[in-house]
Amino acid sequence: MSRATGVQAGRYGRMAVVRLMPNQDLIEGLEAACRDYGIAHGLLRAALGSLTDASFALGEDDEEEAAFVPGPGLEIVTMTGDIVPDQDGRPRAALSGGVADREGRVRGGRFRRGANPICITAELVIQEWLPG
Amino acid sequence: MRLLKQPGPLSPARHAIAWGEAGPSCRLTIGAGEDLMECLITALARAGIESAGLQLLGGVVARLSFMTGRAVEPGGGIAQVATRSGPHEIACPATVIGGNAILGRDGEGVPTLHVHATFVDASGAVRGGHLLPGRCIAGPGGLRLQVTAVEGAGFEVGADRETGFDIFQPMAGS
Repeated sequence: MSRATGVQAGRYGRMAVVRLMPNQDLIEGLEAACRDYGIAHGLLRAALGSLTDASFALGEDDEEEAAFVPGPGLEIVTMTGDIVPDQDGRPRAALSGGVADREGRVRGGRFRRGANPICITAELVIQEWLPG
Repeated sequence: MRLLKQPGPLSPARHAIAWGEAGPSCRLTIGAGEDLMECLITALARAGIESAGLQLLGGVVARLSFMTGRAVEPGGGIAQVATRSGPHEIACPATVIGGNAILGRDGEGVPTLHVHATFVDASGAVRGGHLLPGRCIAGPGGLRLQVTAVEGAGFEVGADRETGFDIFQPMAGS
């Protein structure tokens, strides 16, 4: 096993039922909610909603757009991810998934920060993760 | 990032939350020939689960149609920025790629599900959308789901003035 592979022990904590309002970025909106509600570490247990447009990256590079899907009304048809604090303790969300256009065609990848405006709503069930 | 002018007044709060505790989690299999949403509502009620987040883990569907979203045409008389399109029927058998569901309550307190999912259809195309009751029939081997129950909080359908939709809102004490 390489040094890059790690195991973080911990346990599951409280459940948060969260709604994000429209006209904000999916990732930045989730991070703002986590900051306000004191969620440092968390896991998505379910997430649905819609986007005005969608922008995806592949890998870790957020700068390069791998796919752009024009909407509005794109359904988030699957999404997974977690929230982890950065080195300054601010919650950072990493979300991957797919969206369906009006014909039901699906594109996906990792949601790029600042490029995925919520169209109507985002509904999330988040479970706290308590490391240690 | 494109922003849209919503039909109603801007809500000052840009997020809402209700805190709860994890309830008894469970796994479910929807048997072949059963409808996903109708069977889920019954099975979760029998398990005493009123609020939950669900993940679609896998399986095959024998019949499926779903709704998608689209822009409202100018002059269409709809005071919303987007509306539903469909239903779209897809070629089956179709295989689950993934999906999420939330169990909450409607405005009358009746259990209701919001389900979005994605599938590979019989031609190999990846399709998905907003599922409807009575229109997602499990195929051979059934459909498998993970259920994370929430106690003391949940989603309840309520009118949203900003968007003009009746949508899930977090509520304490569910």
